[in-house]
Amino acid sequence: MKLLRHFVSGWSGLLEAAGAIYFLFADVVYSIFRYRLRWELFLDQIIRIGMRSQGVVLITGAFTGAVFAAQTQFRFGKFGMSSATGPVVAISMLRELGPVLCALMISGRVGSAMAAELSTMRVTEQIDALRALAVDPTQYLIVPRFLGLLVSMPFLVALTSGTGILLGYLVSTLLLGVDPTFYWDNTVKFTGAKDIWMGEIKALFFAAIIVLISCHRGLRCRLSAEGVGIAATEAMVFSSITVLISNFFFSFLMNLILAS
Amino acid sequence: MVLRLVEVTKTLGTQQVLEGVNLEVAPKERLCVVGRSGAGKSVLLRLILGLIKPDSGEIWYGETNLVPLRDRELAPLRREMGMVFQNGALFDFMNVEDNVAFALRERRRPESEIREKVSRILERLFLKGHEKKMPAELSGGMRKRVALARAIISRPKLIFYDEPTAGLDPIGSTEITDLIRCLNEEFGATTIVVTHDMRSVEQIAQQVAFLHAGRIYHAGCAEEFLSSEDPVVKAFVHGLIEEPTVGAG
Repeated sequence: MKLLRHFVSGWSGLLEAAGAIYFLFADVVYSIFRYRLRWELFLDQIIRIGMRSQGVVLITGAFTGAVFAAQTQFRFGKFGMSSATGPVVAISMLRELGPVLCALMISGRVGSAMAAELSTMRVTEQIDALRALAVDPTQYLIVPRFLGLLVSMPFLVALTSGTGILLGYLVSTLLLGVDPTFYWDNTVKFTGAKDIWMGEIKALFFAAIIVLISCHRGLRCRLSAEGVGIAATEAMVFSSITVLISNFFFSFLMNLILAS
Repeated sequence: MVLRLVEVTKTLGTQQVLEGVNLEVAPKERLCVVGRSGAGKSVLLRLILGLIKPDSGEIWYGETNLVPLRDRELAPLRREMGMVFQNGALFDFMNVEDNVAFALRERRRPESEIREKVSRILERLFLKGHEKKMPAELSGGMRKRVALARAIISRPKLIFYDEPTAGLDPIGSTEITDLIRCLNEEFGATTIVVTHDMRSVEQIAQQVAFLHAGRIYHAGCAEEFLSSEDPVVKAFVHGLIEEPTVGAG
């Protein structure tokens, strides 16, 4: 009975959060079309989210691509399938590893910071002060973050995938002796525009997930120092898990759409 | 009446904080809402500003009932109000100047006008020379004065102060109460101060509303309240602790 109660309350909590995030999304979309964009805040978010995350995603992409190329070549080389290493690395980086790893790093670096910032503002009554000054918190705080990450994320994903492919190429050709022309020729031959599109569409989708979940946790935090910490942790954990789960379904859906 | 509360109730968690509050505030009046800690004074201000919704009752601002209005519908009315939060609630990512200028920038006033008004108000509130400081670098009293400047810069018709003297030394406290009184006389804005500090009540109030057991227990002029012989009011005003019942415990 106790187990059932826990199960029911867990699911109802999840549904409640999903509903609240949906309404937050609707509010953000309404605010985007209804009010003027605050360019200063939007550009500030692009700098904070996009430009300052470049180092993190660059390292993530580079070493993921390098180790992935090395492991692929170790196995494929044994069966004389070195020709497949380049395309496998490129397609994996563009379609899956680039967007997902980039999203995970951004949810850790940016999502938790967003939640901590908003929850601190809530605890110190700054959000109430905004409302008292007749300023809509969604328009002032959420929209610039939402659009900032939406614009930045495709570039960050491109950076992650690009450096992964580049370092995979360098490891395979310089360290593992694969012929550079052969490697590159096969990579270009088996990689298409739809692989790039798939990664970039995922980037937009993951950006929305990270901002909405992180802002939701920040705005709904408990009014204590502990609440701020919990909000930051939950933002990172929930957005990462949602990215991973949704990626599975998204990949299936995108394959169906792009295959047709 | 500029503001009228009719049978307002509010429950927070399991506790019924307000159990049918009725209150009327006349234009340009200085009203102090007093009561013990946890009596629901700050909740009352938040209800009037629409930051939280009552469980039942009506809150009339002029001819408009604020209760059914949503945040976006409340925005034009909130532009006529100013609020000084207990801890200032200054935007910690902005310096003093930008905090004070915030309301005017939101209303897209010309930058020259904003600079002139900010400079004037900072001088008036003894904050000249602190324009570029961040909120974290300010003392408690300065933070309150910045919050005050931010609330009054757009000349609201109705100003709320939530415990304006809490946490201040006696001199800082007198400075703030003097400012509240002077600003009310200067700008003619209706002023509602939530406090449990009797010195502030003496210095500021024209009218007093005493919140007790979820209701307005006493409402009247300040002198009448301070000299009241009602045992509950008297106990609050003079800080008397009720004698324990014989044989209790």
